[in-house]
Amino acid sequence: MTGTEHAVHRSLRTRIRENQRPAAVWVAVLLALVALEAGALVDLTVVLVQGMVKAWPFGNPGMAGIESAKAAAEAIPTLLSRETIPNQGWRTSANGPWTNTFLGLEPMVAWLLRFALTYAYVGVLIGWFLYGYRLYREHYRQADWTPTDDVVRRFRSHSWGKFGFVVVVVFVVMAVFAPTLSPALAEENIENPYSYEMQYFDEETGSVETVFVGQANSQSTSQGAGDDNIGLWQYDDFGRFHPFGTMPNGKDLFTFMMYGARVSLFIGLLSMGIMGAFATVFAMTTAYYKGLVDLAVVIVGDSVMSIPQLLLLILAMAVFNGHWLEGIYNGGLLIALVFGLSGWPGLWRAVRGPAFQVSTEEWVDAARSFGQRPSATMRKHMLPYVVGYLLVYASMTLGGVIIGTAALSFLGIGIDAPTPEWGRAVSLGQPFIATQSWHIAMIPGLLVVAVVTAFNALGDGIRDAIDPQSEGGESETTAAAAGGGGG
Amino acid sequence: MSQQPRRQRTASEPVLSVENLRTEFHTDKEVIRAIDDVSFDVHPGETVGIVGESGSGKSVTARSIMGLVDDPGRILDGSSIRFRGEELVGKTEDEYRDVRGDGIAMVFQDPLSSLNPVYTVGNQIKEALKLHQGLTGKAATDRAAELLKAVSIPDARRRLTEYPHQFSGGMRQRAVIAMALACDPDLLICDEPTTALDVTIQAQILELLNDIQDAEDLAIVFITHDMGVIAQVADRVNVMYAGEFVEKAPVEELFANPRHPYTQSLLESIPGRGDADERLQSIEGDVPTPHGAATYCRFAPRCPKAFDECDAIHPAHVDVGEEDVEHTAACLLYPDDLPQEEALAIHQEHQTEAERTGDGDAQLVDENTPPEEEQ
Amino acid sequence: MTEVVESDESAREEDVLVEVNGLKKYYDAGSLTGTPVKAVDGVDFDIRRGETLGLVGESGCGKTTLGRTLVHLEAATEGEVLFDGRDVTSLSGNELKRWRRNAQIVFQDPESSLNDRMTVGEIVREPLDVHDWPTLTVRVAGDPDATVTGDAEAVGPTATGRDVDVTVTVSGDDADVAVRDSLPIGPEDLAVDVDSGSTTTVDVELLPSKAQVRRAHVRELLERVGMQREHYFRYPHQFSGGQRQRIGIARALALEPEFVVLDEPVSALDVSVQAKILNLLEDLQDEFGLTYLFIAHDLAVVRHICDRVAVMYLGNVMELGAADSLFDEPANPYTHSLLSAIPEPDPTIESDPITLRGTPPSPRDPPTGCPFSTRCPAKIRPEAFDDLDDETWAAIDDLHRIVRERGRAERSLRERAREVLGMETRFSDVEDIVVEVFGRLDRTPDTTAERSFEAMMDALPRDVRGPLVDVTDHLRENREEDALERLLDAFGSECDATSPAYYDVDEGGRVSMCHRHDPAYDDVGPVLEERYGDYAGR
Repeated sequence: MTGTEHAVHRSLRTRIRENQRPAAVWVAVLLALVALEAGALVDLTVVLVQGMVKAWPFGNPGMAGIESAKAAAEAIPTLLSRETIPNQGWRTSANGPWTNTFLGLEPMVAWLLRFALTYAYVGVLIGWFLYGYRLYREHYRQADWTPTDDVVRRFRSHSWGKFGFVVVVVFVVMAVFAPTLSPALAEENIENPYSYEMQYFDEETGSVETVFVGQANSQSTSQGAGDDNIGLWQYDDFGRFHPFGTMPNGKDLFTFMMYGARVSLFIGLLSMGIMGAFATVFAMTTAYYKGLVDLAVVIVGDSVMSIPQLLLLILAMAVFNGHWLEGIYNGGLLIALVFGLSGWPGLWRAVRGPAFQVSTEEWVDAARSFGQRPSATMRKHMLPYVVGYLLVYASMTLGGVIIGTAALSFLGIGIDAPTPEWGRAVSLGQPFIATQSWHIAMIPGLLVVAVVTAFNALGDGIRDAIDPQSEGGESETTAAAAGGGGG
Repeated sequence: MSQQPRRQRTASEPVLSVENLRTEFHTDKEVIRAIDDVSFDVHPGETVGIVGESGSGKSVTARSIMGLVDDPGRILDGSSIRFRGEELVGKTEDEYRDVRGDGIAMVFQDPLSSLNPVYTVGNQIKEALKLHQGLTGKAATDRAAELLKAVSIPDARRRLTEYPHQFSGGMRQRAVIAMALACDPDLLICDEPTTALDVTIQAQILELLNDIQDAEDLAIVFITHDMGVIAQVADRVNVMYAGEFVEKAPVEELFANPRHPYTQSLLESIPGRGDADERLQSIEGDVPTPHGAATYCRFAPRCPKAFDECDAIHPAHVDVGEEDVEHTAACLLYPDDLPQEEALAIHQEHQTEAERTGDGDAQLVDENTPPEEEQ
Repeated sequence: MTEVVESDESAREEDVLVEVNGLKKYYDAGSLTGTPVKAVDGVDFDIRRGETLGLVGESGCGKTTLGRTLVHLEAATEGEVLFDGRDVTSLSGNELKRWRRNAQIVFQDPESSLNDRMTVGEIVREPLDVHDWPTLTVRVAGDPDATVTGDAEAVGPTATGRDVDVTVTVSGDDADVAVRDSLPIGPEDLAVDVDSGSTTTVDVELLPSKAQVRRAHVRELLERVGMQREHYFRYPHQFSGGQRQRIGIARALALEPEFVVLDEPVSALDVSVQAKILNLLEDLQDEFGLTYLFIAHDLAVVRHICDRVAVMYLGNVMELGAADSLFDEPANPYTHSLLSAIPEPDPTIESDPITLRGTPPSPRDPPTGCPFSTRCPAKIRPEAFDDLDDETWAAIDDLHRIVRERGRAERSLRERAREVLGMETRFSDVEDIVVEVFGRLDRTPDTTAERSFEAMMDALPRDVRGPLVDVTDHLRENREEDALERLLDAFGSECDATSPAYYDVDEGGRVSMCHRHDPAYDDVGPVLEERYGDYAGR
């Protein structure tokens, strides 16, 4: 028996061992890329841990340890950090050179450089992963063709979907790399501006002065009137560069946007996670068992759906005011929970159809006929066919959640100050929309539109990629050509 | 197509005359030549059968005649479909609409998808009546009820107000036939109309079609894969394989003297023809998907009687029947009353002739490698 | 509901693998709305070891439901299924799972029976993974008290053949190992250690991993069904219908079952491919000693491959017997009709089949009495109307069906309101119906003869007219049930009143369910000949 084995089946490890070079090269480059940003990764983990510990209502264990870990993490050199390419510098004399910026370049250029480098890095990283997938397909995968290949091929020719994908990636990078992409740190500029000092070249006194960031902010406000406005792509009087201008309270809008993306993404992902989990579990069980189980979930789902989400949110915010739950992210966690727990029926209903459809396929019956466990049947035989639809509706719902959060913040009942959130920026800028400070409301508004549209586009792209029927009849014509009716 | 003298045609003019029909589909991945040089006639009052397995292109033939071949498929130049003397190839959609229903009607395989589930059956019949005969109101309802009665649906008036899902499978197919007949067509194309039905219901439908044909002198093109059905309904039969007709004969002649190896194998693999204890004959391999004009015999890879030249010369139709029987087959084995070199020469001549006059719009794809065999 | 009148003792002595007694499967049996769907309505038969029993019938007759119930894909509502003497309808949990190894099913649609996301190898392998195959069963020759440890387990004392994987013959401290042929391993793949103490302990270790053994088994199966070993890694999408069906067969055989239900395995395939698959099924049956239940609607196929055949209609077995004699000399009127409706691939035969009128009744509303009574061409007619011609009888039957249909037709709220108010609804045109049914006694499609109701009635014989007038009156008042009762009262017979018993109809053990088999009535064959002349069929 064993003799004939080797000719046909080799495990992945054997296959890699047989053809080592491509894999080795790929892994090496990947490690190099990761090493460039290793410091940031470690830092991120520490920050997350710190955030969770801080929010824990029952005492703060091990804070000291975390602090030192953070310090250590920050000490690791990373390519795209503010330390490597600083942009917050000042002039030493009236038209003299800049100090404390990267290579003495002016803040705008330094920031732009770091900004571009970050996106370039992400682009290279993504490209490298795609290349790795191609390598795998070419050299190491045993099967000539898998159903995923068709999906990938269709997605690659779908322009709208690709546009969506690109913009979503941009958005995610904004959220993940917020400190790197912003001209200033949120901690310094937005949250605790009176705890930090900065230096600038004061033209009146002719020397370098030190001032609180908060004071600088109060003198760089954008409130409509001609002089009192720092618009797009401008320096303020303190030598700081503002790509998107400043807000009515003088805080940097670009930084606000970047960190706001974090909040939006966090809320979006968390609520999607909750909704997705509920929807998947319920879709699988109702489609498999049907009957009474389906009836029960329908009743529960419809009841939940009948509660108006907005009222529920207002209620939740009011009831949990001051509670530790509300403290996390200034209401972010609470909003995510409410969205998740009240939004799952919509998602479930969307995938219930495909789930039922797949449960009537004969291979599900076949699995039952040889005694397969229900959980394994649901996972292997039903879930792969539903995942696609789940992704589609999830991506669209994510857009909806982001817009919902922004709307709430706009109305003032969402994320509280000082945590940045796009909707609140729109609200803050609303009185000035017709003035020179139009950018305060317009930019966040446009960004929201762009991001939500992108999520929808991504959803469209995924749906068209997984569903061969939607492909304007390619498989139709092959069927027709192959003799139509009879098959 | 054959060089030998044609037998005399029956006196009446054919209702439908298809000549050199070629239909291709251009998808991203490949080009599929679904129909390759198909020709046949249909006379009033007769039933012409097209029989073949899946992948043979018979449904595409029906759709080509009806003008239902859409992008990325198209009928190639050089094809001719003449209905009542009028050329159909090249007509615009509007012009075709006048012919459809009024002159040519079609009955599809799956009655559930040919009837719109959100409209009542009566509504749909009346729609056809309004379009082609301008009937409305009570006149239309009366005529619709008459039509349902004509197809033996009992309690016709009540049935007019019902929806397709309230009909059984056989009744739905009758309703579809009623709709097809609503406008007194001269030609009825039936694409596997009874394949989805039970055998007793099938018997009813076949009987119905027979009655209608006798009463109206209707010409019918009947497409199916079931040799038994063909034997019962057809007057003349065309056997189709991979987009081509490989044998054409009157029905008794075909079953008594099948000439083409494909027809022979097909008849042998029907259970019940031979001894019940013997193993069934089967044909190895699968029906190939043709990608361009044929330069060789498409059945050769699976043919039990194939020889070398079969991969190089494309067979043309030659007479293989008795004196006054119109029986042709496209096989290099025939005409078998001539020595092989002469026979081959005849086929070769046809092929060169076809290449010379041009293959319509398509290039003669150089298909030197016959399709690979799947076990 | 039905009973066996005579039992054939000799049949009982045959080795019966599956015995079905009074099996019923109703859907929506306890529902609040309406009547249940009686998919299988009291079915009895045996399947002998090694035979192929065919199950034929048209759509809606319940044959697929019956097949699925036998492999426990549906739970029986009533009745029992004895598998090797053991009732399996009440099995559950682990016992059910264990039993599933013995009975497998091959599905109809090759497109839908294989999960496109899994490779062929994974598909055929899945049953093996679920049952942790192989559970090596070891028999220690001559020592029933020996303990077995390691990767194997001891086999029961009564196990034979397929149930014993490994036989160990102990002589002192040595062991002679023999492995069952059909397993893909040999003695060299086992490490056997014998410890002869007070009780002999035999330790059996499997050297290759179970995954390897399963892969080897799958590859062997693929070859046996006519695929190639390399196909293990391909996806079903890449194969044709016939090949996909082979994969389905391989999967069904993976666990080495004794009994296989074949649910229309060749219906979705072309004729030439069909032939290959049928040949394959026959070969596999010989090689593995399988017992088949072959469900189909194509009688020619069934005749070719089956030893005995059961004909089903509306959840009942109408006739059951040896295939050849059943097809050559059918006894039951339904079988007659079915056979005569098959188009023969021979154009010289003048086909004049017994064309059944109407459609099968809904399983929610089966007829009282014999299920075939609404369409039976050999239906018993009351003596009073013996001389009435066949056309009039056909018209009466048509009316009967129409009245039954009307009784079941859905009436919207608006229609009911209109009825109550005495206004016209689409059900009002009773007279037109009767004229249509009786006025057109020759079956040409279009008739221009407009007859009035009265004129037509006058043309009918008096004993027919009387009941018809009553029926029309009832219908006009929308009293369908009363109309039906009147119809049956006048024109009904034994066929409408009681369900027939099974009668033995020949020497070979064939049974058929029809009142006409009772010596009190004329038998089916002569009646059909009288009414339909020399019809095609038999």
